Amino acid sequence: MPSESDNVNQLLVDWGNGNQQALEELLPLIYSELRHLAHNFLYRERPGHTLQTTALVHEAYLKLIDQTDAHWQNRAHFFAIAAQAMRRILIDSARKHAAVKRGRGGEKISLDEAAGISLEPDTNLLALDEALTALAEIDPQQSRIVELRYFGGLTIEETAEVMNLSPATVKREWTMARAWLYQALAGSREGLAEPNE
Amino acid sequence: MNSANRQQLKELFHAAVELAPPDREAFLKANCAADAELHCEVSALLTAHESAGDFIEHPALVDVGLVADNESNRSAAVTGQQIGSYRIIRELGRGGMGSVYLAARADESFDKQVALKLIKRGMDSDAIIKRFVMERQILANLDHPNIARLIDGGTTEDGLPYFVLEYIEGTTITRYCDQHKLNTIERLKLFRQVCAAVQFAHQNLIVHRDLKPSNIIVTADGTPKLLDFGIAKLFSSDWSSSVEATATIGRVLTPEYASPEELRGLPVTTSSDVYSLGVVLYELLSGHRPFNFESRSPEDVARKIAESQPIKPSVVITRIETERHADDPKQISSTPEAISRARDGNIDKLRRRLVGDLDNILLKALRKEPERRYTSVQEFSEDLRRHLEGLPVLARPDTLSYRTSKFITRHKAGMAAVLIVALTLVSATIVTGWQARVARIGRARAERRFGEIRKLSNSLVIEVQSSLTTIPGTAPTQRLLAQKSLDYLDSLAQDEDKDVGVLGELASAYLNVGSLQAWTLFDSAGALQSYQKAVAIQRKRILLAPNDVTTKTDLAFGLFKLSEALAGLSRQEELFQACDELIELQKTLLAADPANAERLSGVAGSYERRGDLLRAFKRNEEANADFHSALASIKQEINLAKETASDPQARVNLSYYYIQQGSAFDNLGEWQNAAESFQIAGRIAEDVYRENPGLTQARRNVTSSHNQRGDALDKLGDYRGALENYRYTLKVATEARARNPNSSDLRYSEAKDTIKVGIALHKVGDVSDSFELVRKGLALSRQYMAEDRSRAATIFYGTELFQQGADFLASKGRHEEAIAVYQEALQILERSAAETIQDSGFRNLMARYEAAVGDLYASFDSETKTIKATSQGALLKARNSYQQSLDTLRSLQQRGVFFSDLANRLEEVSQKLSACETALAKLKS
Repeated sequence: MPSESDNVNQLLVDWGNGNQQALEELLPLIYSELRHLAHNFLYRERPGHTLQTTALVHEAYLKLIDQTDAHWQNRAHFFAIAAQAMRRILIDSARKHAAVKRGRGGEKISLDEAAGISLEPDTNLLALDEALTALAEIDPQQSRIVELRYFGGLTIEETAEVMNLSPATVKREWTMARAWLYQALAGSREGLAEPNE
Repeated sequence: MNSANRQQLKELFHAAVELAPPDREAFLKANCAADAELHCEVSALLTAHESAGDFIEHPALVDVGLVADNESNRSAAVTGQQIGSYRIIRELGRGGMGSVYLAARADESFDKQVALKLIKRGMDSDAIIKRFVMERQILANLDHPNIARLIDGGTTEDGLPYFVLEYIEGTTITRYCDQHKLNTIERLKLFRQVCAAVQFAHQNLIVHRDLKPSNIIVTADGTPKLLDFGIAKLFSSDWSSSVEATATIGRVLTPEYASPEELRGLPVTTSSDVYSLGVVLYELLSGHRPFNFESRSPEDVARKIAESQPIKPSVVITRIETERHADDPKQISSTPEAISRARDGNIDKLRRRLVGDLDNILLKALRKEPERRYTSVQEFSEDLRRHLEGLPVLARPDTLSYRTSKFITRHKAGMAAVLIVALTLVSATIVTGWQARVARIGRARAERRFGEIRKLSNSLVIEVQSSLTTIPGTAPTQRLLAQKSLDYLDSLAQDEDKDVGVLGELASAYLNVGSLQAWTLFDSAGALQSYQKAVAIQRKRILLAPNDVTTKTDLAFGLFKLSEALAGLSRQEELFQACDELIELQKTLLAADPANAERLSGVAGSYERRGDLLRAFKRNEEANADFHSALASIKQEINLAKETASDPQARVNLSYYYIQQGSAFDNLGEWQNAAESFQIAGRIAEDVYRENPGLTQARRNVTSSHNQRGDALDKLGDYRGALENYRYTLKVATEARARNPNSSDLRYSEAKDTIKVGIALHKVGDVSDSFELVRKGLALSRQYMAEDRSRAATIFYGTELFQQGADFLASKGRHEEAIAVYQEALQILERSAAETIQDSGFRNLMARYEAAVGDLYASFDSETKTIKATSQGALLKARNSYQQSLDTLRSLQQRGVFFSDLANRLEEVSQKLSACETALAKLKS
């Protein structure tokens, strides 16, 4: 019986070969794994112990991928996907959360979903998501850097490795993207009524 | 916005953000005066940048409170803190899972600085902690002058593990060599010290996996030190695969130094370290990397390393290359002038230095297939030594044969048929086609062509055979292949070829075929013929190159194989001729270098071998004379070693020589002397072990000397003394295993020593404890075998322990229990034998144990050689067991397998069988 990790590996290879369909299949797998990990994390009693995002992603990677035959470059792919998945997880949750607050939530959300996003985010995630999508239109590289750094939890160096850029370049592009996004969000704050304010 | 605008915007923003805020406006005015919109846009971005604070600086999961982020400001927070008894001074560096800090003992002056490695907070997932603890464990086992030493370790108040290392101040090996303008010889000598450290790690079953210049630091006094075992791997089977798997997680590989197998995610072995060391040496000698990557994208690197061959170092030094170094993002140009300037010589001299040997050595270390590289770091380093001493090196240039053999290994079995046809054709061509060919294409080209065909065929023989031996059911093909190979080799041998290298290849090809005949085809007579041919060629080589030491050591190996075959066939006269020649040869080698302890060891070993064989043929007096001669050589060896025994390794060697001396006395029946030698060996080894608890060899010598001293005392009748020594051995083994709970070797020692203590307890009258310990020892043996069942040696050693336990139980009248132990051993052996075609070793043991079970049922009295059992049931069971043993022995005999005592045992078991039959017949009548 092919295990789930076989499947993930194959999908990664396919995606690496340019098959966009593979990405569509990969995301739900990773999404559920990350959710599972995040859930475990929340309910695990480990006082004084915390997990950093990267560690979380590493663990997810470990669980999903059979290390012995994982191709080296797949790790880079994985981080890219994980960052995307993380983005989707958080945005979805934020959307539901916003819906609940507005009292117009059509669907019930489970306890752990609510717990996952129980704290009010400092950053308006939904606005950020929109701005990031807009950034991808004019500068896909900067948008990917933000995705890896912010949603994937990667450091400058790790991002450089994954994107095959020098750390200096990543740092420069990150600085500019951050300024651009901040500006975009400031604009949205002025122009749009926030649903949860 | 179009892309040109975007680019312009980016450039302006990047430039402006580097400036102090008050200067920015002037800069923008000067640079985008013509484009007000652009100016406005950059200004807005700069304003946003200034007011963004820590906007999205923390990962999203932290922002939403899903995880806490303690990583930022971590360094600042740690500095000045106390961890254990160390005070942190500053951060030295950061890795994937932790940071390294400069620290000093808090209770002392800041004189002695150390490096403290602390796991990152937030990175403390179980898997990462496991890996961190593994690095600490690995270092604890590595005490070597050229490896950064582990000083201390512990857990912080928050429960994070840390460890403390020797702080190494110095520069990377490449920079050190260039700064000091070391010439090629000096570089090689320095590099060999690095090899010694890596070899030491390998001896302790550790692969470094990340050897690169930045992990090899040379201190001010010129001592190289190996750092960072963070991704090292234990290659013994006793580490669970989960630990091994995590070891590769999250690491940033340095692709320039990684071996092809590592880049492809295949298993990493000691051979991968040979490769990485090859890259380091390539760079030290030539100033270039073997591969120059246009980009460092993983795909490009992996493809380049997999597909292209490295350029010869002697060629590459004349080139100008621009490359990006791993630890330096700047572009670096390597020009011949710069390279020779740093290496004390002009470029031509440097090129000539590399041409030939060093080219060959480096390319051998850098081969794609691990099995085509040097088999060990030691062999690599030894070849460099030979080069330094002007001796011929092992490495040969790659030719057609190498490239073809790559193809062969991928198509193993199918190639056998092709090979057989090819060999037939080639043999025919060599004999008949030579003259015609010379006439047609000229001698020089004909020779070259034949050289290629010959090398190709030689490698085909070796490659295909070695790959076939592991495939069950290919015996008939292999037999045919062996025959065709021999035809081919015979035709080649007739050819008038006087080249020492070619003859060497031919001799080793004959030895290879001989081993195949002996160990896979069980054709001992055929094997003998092949060995004889090899030895004849090796003798011829010595005449051709009398000053080449390797021709003599090669002959010594050939004679050793020959004596193995002759002993199996009980051909005494020729056997002892071969042994005599072997001894003479070792003496000649010693005469050329009388102060060489290794050569003395060779002489002692050859005497011991003849002594053992003489004893096997019951020629005890002559055997004793040989053991005396061996002893004399060992004494010389000890005297030599005493003079130089200052560093721990030399003292470990000295203790080993005393152990050898003890064994020699033991062979002579001089137990008192033996016990004394073992005692001296034990004292030396204990001293070293106490000071260097990580030195595995020291521990082995401690246990081995006490164990054998116990044996000698036992023979002297001093049972209490023996018990004391066995108990000590057990204690050391148990303590060592507590530190390495997964070590298979230590599991074995514990099992063996437990049984020994158990048996010794009986001799001093402590009967109940005795049985309890023997049973415990058997349980440990069972566990030992279960944990590592796929290794043949484990099964041999483990069942041997079963035999010891069973024999003890039987000798104390517990026959039922002993039979049960033997039967369990037989089951294990049967299963192992069924899993391999090289099963003769297992079957041989089975024959032994079946006979032993027969003896137990028959109550066989070994003194009077009579059967004491009288009940029909016991006699029937005995008869069946003897019959089984006889059947097994006969099948081994039919295969023509080499076991020198096979004929005797056949006779013995058939006598016992007929005695059983007689006794049964008497009962009936």
